[in-house]
Parts: sequence; C-alpha cells; structure tokens
Amino acid sequence: MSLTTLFALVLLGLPALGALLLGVAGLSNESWRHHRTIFGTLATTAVTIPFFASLYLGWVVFQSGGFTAHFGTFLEAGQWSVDLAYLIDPLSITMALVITGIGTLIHIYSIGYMKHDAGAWRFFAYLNLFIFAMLQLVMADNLLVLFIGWEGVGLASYLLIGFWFKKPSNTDAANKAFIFNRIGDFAFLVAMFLLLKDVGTLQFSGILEGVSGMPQDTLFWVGLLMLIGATGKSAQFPLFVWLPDAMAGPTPVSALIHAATMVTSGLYLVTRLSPMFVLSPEVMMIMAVVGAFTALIAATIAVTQYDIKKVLAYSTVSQLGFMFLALGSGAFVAAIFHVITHAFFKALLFLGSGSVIHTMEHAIENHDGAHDAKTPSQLDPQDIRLMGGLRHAMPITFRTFWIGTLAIAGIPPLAGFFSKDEILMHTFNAGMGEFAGPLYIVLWVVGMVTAFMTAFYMVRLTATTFHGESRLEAQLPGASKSFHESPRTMTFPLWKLAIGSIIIGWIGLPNFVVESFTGQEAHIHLLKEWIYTQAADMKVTLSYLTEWILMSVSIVVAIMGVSTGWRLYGQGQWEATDQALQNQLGEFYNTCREKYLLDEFYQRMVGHPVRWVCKHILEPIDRFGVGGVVAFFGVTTRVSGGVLRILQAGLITNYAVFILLGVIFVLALMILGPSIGGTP
Amino acid sequence: MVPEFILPWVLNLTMWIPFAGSVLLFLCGSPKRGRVMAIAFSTFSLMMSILLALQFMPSYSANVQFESVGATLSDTVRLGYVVGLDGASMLLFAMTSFIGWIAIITAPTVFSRTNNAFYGLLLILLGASLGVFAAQDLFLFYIFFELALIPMAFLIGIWGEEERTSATYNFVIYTLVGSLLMLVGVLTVGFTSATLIDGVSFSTHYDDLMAAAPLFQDLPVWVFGSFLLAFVIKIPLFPFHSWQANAYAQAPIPAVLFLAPIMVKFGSYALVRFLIPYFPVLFDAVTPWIATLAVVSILYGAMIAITATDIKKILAFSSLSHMGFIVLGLVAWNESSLQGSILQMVNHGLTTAALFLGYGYIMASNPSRHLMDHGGVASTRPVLTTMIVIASMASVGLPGLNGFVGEFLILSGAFDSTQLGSTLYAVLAALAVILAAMYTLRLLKFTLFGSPQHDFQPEDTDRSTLPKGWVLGTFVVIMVWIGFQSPTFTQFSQEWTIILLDHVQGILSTSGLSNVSPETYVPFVL
Repeated sequence: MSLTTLFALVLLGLPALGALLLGVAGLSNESWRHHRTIFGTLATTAVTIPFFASLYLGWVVFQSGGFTAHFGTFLEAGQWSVDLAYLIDPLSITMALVITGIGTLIHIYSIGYMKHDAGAWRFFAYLNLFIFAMLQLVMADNLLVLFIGWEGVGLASYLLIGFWFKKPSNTDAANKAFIFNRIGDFAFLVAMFLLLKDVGTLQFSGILEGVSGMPQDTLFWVGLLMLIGATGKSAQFPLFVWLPDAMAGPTPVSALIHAATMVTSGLYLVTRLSPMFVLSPEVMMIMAVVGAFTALIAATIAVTQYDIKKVLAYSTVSQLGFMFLALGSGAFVAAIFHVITHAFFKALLFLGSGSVIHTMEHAIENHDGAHDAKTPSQLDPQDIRLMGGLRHAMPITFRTFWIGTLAIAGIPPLAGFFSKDEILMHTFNAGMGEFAGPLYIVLWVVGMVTAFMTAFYMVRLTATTFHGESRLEAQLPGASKSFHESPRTMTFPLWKLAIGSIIIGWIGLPNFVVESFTGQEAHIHLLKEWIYTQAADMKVTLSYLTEWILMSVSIVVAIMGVSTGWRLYGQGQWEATDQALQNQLGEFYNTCREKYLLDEFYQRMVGHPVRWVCKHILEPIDRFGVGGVVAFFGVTTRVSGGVLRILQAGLITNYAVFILLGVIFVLALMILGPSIGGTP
Repeated sequence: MVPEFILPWVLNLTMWIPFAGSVLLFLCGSPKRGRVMAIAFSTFSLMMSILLALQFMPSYSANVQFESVGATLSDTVRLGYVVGLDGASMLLFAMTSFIGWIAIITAPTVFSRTNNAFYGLLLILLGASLGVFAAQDLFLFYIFFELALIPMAFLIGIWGEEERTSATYNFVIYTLVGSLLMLVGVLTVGFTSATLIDGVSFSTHYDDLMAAAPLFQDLPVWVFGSFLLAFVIKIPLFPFHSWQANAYAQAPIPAVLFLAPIMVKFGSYALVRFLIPYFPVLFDAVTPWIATLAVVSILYGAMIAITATDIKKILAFSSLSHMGFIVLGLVAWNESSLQGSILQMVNHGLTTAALFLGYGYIMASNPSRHLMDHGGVASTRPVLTTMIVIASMASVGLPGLNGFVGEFLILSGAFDSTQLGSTLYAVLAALAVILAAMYTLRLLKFTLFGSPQHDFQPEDTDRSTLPKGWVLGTFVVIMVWIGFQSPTFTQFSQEWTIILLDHVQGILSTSGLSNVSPETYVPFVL
C-alpha cells in the first residue's frame, strides 16, 4: 500500500473507527458513559487527524494530480462490477477539507455544549458516523459508493435529529427527515438504474466519457432524477419541509449537518457530474428556477419567524437555493465556492445561536419563577421575542454573530459577498448569453431581491437577539443576572469560524477586477484555478463594465438590506415593526409566517389519503376480500376442518397414525408407479 | 485441510444430527437437560455447516458438491436419497443452520413455556429445513418440504397465542392443498423424465430431470400450475398470503424464527430450482402475471404495514413486501437479478430473524403485540435498541448493510430485463424504499422511542441484555460484512446462474413457443 493510499485510508477509516469504538464502549459499560469529555476528545481526534490527512493529500494532488484509491470490490453482477474506490482529486479534497475542518471545530464546540447531557457518548458516536458517511459521499469514485454516503448521512441525520428521543415530536421530525430524503433517494436509485442500463457503468469517469454518446432522452431523465434526489437531500422546493423540523436536534448538529455539510451533498453531486448536466439545458433551467424560487420563498418565511434556529434554518434553505441557482446557470465553481463560504458563516451563526440558547436555558432554569404566573417550562429558550440585551453578557458570541450576519448579508470583503456576487453575475451572464435567455434575467432579479431580504432578516435576527433591553427580564425579573458567556471550548470555535467567515472569500477573488486594469488574463480566483477541471463552467461573456456594474449593484443591495434592517429593528423594536409589516402586507405576511402551508398541504394531500387508503381500503380487503378471492380455500377449510376435528382429538398418536397413513400412501404410489404409469 | 471424501458425510451429519437429537429428546431427555441437549445438537450441526461453507468451491458452483448418494428405491425406479449442495443452495443451507441454531439457543429468553417436546420439534424443523436445501432428488425434496410442515403445525397449534387454532388450520390447510397438488406434479414429472433412460420407469433425480426438461414443455399446463401454486402459497405472493400474518402473529417466537426467515424461502428456492429450469416456456408465458403479483405484493405489503398495529403482523407484511422483491428478481431472469434474488433470500432471512428476535425480547418483558403498549425501550436498553435500529436499517435497504446489495442487484436487473420488457416493474417496486421507511420508522418510534410505557423488571437492567446484544450483534456483523463485501457471497451463485440461464435459453430456442411474444397468449401485460 502506497503512502498516499494509506493516508486515504486514514481519512476515510478513522471516523468510522471512532464511531465504532465510542459506540461499543458506551454500549458495553454504563459507567464509562459518564466520561463525556473523554468521549468528546476521542471523537474530535478521529476528525482532526483526517483533516491533516486531507491537507497532506491536497498537497499530493497539487503536486502530482489526482488519483484513485481502491479497496476491493463492492458489488459484482454479470457484466458490471463496482469497486469500493475513492477519488482523490481537487474537488473531493476541497470538500473533505471543509468537512473535516469545520467538523473538527464543531466537535470541539460539542464537548462544551454536551457537557451536561447523559447521552453525550451516543452523540459523539453519531457525529463520527456522520463524518464517515459524508466523506464516503464526497470521496466516492462511483455513484454506488457515493450512495453509501448519501444514505449514511441520512441515517446519521435521523439519529441526531431524534437524539432526544423521549420527546415524540423529535422522533417525528427525525422520521420526516428520513422519509423526505427517501423520496429523493428513490429518484436517485432510478437514475442509477437508467445509467446502468444505457451507459453500463456507475463510475464517474465512465459516465462522463459516455455522455457524448447518450441519447438526449436519457440525459434528460438521468439529470432530472438526480435533480430530484438532490432537492431531497439539499432541501429544495418542494422537498425542503424537513429541514426546519430538523432543528429539533442539538444545535451543533444543525450547524454541521443541516447547514455546513450534508445539505450541500446535492450540489456536490451535480458539480461532480456537471459535464453531463450542461448537455441538458431543460434540466439546467429547472434547476435554476427551483433554486431561485426556493431562495425567495425561504427568505420570505425567514423574515416572519421568531425561533432563532428556525430563522437560520430557512436562511439555509434560501442560501442552498442560491447555490442551485448557480448550478442552473452553469456556474459550478461559484456553487462550490458558496458551499465553502456558507459552511463557515452558517456554522458560525448556528454555533452562536447554540451559545445563546445555552445561556437562555440556563437563565430560565435557574429562575424559580415564583414571581410570575408563568412557570419557566413554558418559556421557549429559542424564542427571540424573549431575548434582547444579550450583547453585554456574551461579548464573544455577540461579536462573532455580527461577523456571521455581515458575511451572509454580502458586505465586502467578508466571505459571503464574493461567492454570492459570483453566482448572481453568472446568472446574469446566462441570461445574456445564447445558452438560456431572458428567463435568467428574471432569476437574477429574484436573486437580488433575495439578497436584499437576506441582509434584512439577518439584521432583524441579530438586532432582536442582542440589542435593546432584555425581555426575559420582564418575564422573569432577575433572570438576566444568569446570562453568561459560554465556556472556552465553545467560544474557541466561534472565533475560528469568524476569522474564516472574514477571509475565506479571498480564495475566490474575481478575476475581472484585475483583468479590467491590466487587460491580461488574471488568476486570482484560486478556487477556480484549483477545481475548474472538475466543473464544466459556462463561459462568461460579459464586458468588464457590466461586471463592475453588477458588483456595485450587489454591494448597494447588501448595504441597503443591512441599513433597512438596522433602521427597523436596531433598537429592539421588533414588535412595532413586525406589526407594521403585517398591516402593510396583510394576508401575504400570514402566509409566509405559516410557511406557505406546505406542511398542511402534504398532510392533507398525501399523508392523510395514503393512510386512509391503507386503513379503509387495503386493510378490509386483506381481512375479507383476499379471503373471498381464494374462497376455494375457504370452503376447503370448512369441509376439511370437520374431518380434521376428528383427527385433532389432541392425541399425538392420532397424528402419528395419520402421518403413517400418508407415508404408506406415498410409498404405495412409488412402488405401484411403474405398473400404472409406464408412459406419461 | 479436510480430506474430501469426508465432506459428504459431514453433510449427512449436519442434516441428521438434529433428527437424532429430537429422537433422543422425545425418548429419554430429562426435562432439565432438554435445552442443553438441543443446544449441543444444533451447535454441532452449525459447526458442520460452517465447515461445508468454507470447503465449498464457488468457482464450481454449477456442480453439486459434497454429493452423497444413498439407496435408490429400485433399479427401475430411480428415486432415493441423494443430497449435495450447489450454488443455489449453499448459502441458504448455511443460513438455515445459523438461524436454526439461534432459534434454539435463544428460545428460553423469548418464550417461557419451552419443554423437551418443544425443543424436539424445533430440531425436526431444523433437520427438515436443511434437507429441503440439500436434497438432490425431487421426491426427497418433497418429503422434507412436507415434513417441515408437521412440527410447525404442532408448534403453532400447541404453543401458539390465543387464536392459535384458527391460525394453525389456515396455515396447514392452505399449504397442504398447494403441496398435495404438487405431489401429482412430482409424479408426472418423474414418469416423464424416465422415458429418456433405458430400463427406468420413474426418476426424480435432479440430473435426470434437468436432462429431460425439454420434454416437460409438452406436459399439460396443470402440471406446471400445480408446482407454481404450491410455491406461490409458500412464498407467499399476493393474494395467496392470507395464512401468513396470522401464523406469524400466533406462533411462538422460536417457531417464527423458522417460519419467516427459513420456510418461506422453500417457495422462492423451489421457484428458481425447479420451475425456471423445468418449465421455462410456460414460466416465460406467465412472467408478466407473476411480475405483476410480485410488484403488488411489494406495495400492498408495505402499505398495510404502514397502518397495522400488531408488531408481529407489521413484520409479517414487511416480509410479504420483501419476498416480492425476491420473486421479481427471479422472474426478471438475468444474471444480476437472479444473483440478487439468491443473495436476498439469505439477506431477508438474516434481517427478519434479527427483527423478530429483537422484538421478541421486547415482547418477552412486556407481553403485548400491540404497538401502542410499548415505548421507551431506548431509555433502559440501549444495546437492544441499537441492534434493532441496525436490523431495521438493513430491512429498509440502507447501503452498507446487506439488504441494499440484494435489492440493488434485483432492481437494476429488473430495470434492464428483456424478459420483463418494461422498466415500470422495477420503478414501481423501487417505490417501496419510501414505504419501507414509513412503516419501519413508525414501528421504531412507537416501540423504542418516547417515554417508557412499561416498568421493566429489575433483572431487565442493561447488564442482563448484554448476552442478547451479543446474539443480535452476530447478525449485525454479518449484515455489515455482506453489505460491504458482497462479492464474497454473490460468487457462490455466479457460475450456477450462468449455467441456469444457458440451460433456459437452450430450451427456449428449441421450443417453437419462444418466438411468440408473451402478449399473444397473455392478455394482460403491465
């Protein structure tokens, strides 16, 4: 085994080993479970070492190009076989770095966050399992191994959403996530069958070689089915409803799985197969429309929510919509760029919210609530209406949260600005070019509106949480004395992610800024230099002037969003502002607040009818109908039942005699056989 | 290295040791030692069958290995004791002795009213089930096939739950009707095959039958029908499944561990062992029908499981759904789907056994089959919970575990199958991945999660569940092993499948009917 393969094995295997070890240790001995810090530290190690392994592999790839690591055969049948093989190339290493890097920080954070939870041992085993599955997903060299990771992250997500299993609503949320993901997986499976049938391979290289010979029909169907698979996993319309519910899990889980990594796997898949997708303009267009639409409606919902994690969840859906818009516009590098920047600032925001929730929980629990009719248990520690005034007590959380907010709002030179600007520029480009047409200009406008709303609702969230006076104090006088900054294990990752949210955008500085001055091709977009071979990006045909104008527009929009948000919410006046918004917008506001009634729609139109059919049609059929279909046997039963009743006198000897008679009958047939049936 | 001439004897021992054990138990076992004896005999049988599996040469899987030829009835009647194993039966044989062993060693933990007769019947069941897979003579197969019915009827009828009598009637009559018809078929086939051999008037040896297969194409349709009916009842396929849910619900867990994982495989095994090679032309003709029934079974079973409230019945309907996949793979009739089906028979056996056992443990401490009476097991028994969750994930086909491998091979084969002629079967069947998640997660939610509905006895603390954890852990290890290293297992059936397809193609190409498309004589094509 060569050194590089060994490193690949460490990268892929260590998290699995960690999950196994922690799981077995926790299961086998109850007293070990109390050593939560040890469990946490071991789990962190099992992610940190792979991070360094992927750094090394990245260096190897940079030096001498990508390679494939083989670990045997996974599946074999007839004409095709699938290897348990992993692709080590710029794209997969980039993803691996994000997963293990942010994964490490979130593991560290979790040591502090789960310090008082008796189930911490399970938590860390699941978290390692997730990292293992996610690495399978991004490193796979073929669709089937990718699918191991694809469903594996679904399992980890299911286990972690339902982590506090005593509360039935948590289990419901976990089931919902799994089932909605499965809808996408169904489409994914059929896409694989189609590829096996028409191309005969599931290997990425084989598929991409075969695309030129693929009929347009196959291209369209494979693309569409994979897109449906991606909408399930990456929470796009109409399958995004599971993601907000997934916030039932512990907050580090929301940061790692439901913001930074798992939900981006659909984007990774499309980018990996981008040369195939670009050949089918219809699928690209559907993808762009779905993305823009999701981005917009999720943003409108986010403006109306009061649960700090729900706002962030809808914001995630909305940002994922941006990434799909990028894919649909043929800007695969930009999509991956936004995956990376988003991973930083969204993980930061979620961890910050976790820090806030932690202190709120503490304050509510500490307070005996003797003064008030409201008992502490009725107060929701995630409700921003109860927050406010946290800026003094938690300065680190406060500052880093603002950095995250400005980054996602798209204020330069923070990370979100560069990636979002690149996406919108490409959408405009697609609208101008021959590829797509004016529809994309509309999508660009939608994108700009969403960008404005993003800045707006994020400032609303941050201002309402940290600024103004403490509203918990009004409910529970004296409660604000319990506010405190989180422990170091939690603030350390916050700082690291905040620094990342500031500088990570600089790996993708727009080339045209230099080019417009020098007139020569520039190479300051490092990410593009690094992964362009894997991504079949559309050419940009815009003039430098247009690009400058577009960039100025997005800066203006971001600043407008932030300043409007600050003007309306900056002093903690959320109540008046929301009331005014509601009065202005009327029914539309309520629809947004009720999440467009999508959940109710699924319940009414799918859930209830399916259950009704099962219960009131299939079950009676099974009880009476099928018996009727085979009435023949029913009659036989009754007649022979009478005969058997004689035999079933309960005496074993009777049965023995019956069996003996049978044997004699059979033997007689055998022996007489030759004489009665010489010929058939 | 084991000398080769011993291996046929090892095979005989594997099968007959359980029978010998049951005789000893009936005759002279003292009540206290009954369990120990049963465990000793079944363990011995398991060891022998592991040895056989290790000695089996997968590259010659088309040949019968460890063949042991006993007495034949007479010179003119070639009917007798021939046993051996090949690519189709080796894994099923090994699975049978493993699950049978598990059923016997775990019996007292999931069922309180065990006694010597109970163990004796379990041992007969084990021997007969092994015999079904080892038989190399159709008549011998038939004898074991029927023999397995008798102890099962007693086990349900005597040790079953409150509605055991009607469940037993249903089960016995239903399957007996099917198999008695099959007996006539067996005799007809036996006489027909003898016409090829000089001086022989009757033969049911597999080799003779395979050689005579082209002749069977001209037999009356009812001969084929009698076999088909017996097997689809056994599997069971919609709408012949009405014995299933009740039998599973009423039977004691150790008996269910034979019924659900092993005995239903008799049907699917016989389908690929006899029906496809002996009657390819007729089988070809009814393919759209059977494929439709398989898809209906898959969806129907899954949908009923979504609202059912009896834990054992949910597992029964899930079994109905999963057996549909196996049948779909068999009728799709290409390399990938056939190998997938043969592997899936083993997979389904393992997952079903693990699930019934896991829920058996739960129901042993909280004796109710109703979903809503349970809950909160995860708080007190994390080991059991973990194992059940993993087995459930194998059952819903999570990649990395065994169920996925089989399902993927079957569905991708069915999607690409020229025999089925339509991709719709595979696509509809694949919908079960969503439905399976729905009923399985619902079951997990109400039994394992939530707050405890039942005060577990003090002895039900975590520590006492550890041995149970080890038992289920064995299943989990095998599930992961198959899940990641499936070629180790599919290689057992690879060569066998290729030869089978050659044989079938040979008959189809010489038979005039093969040029006629199914549509012309089957009015309904999906």
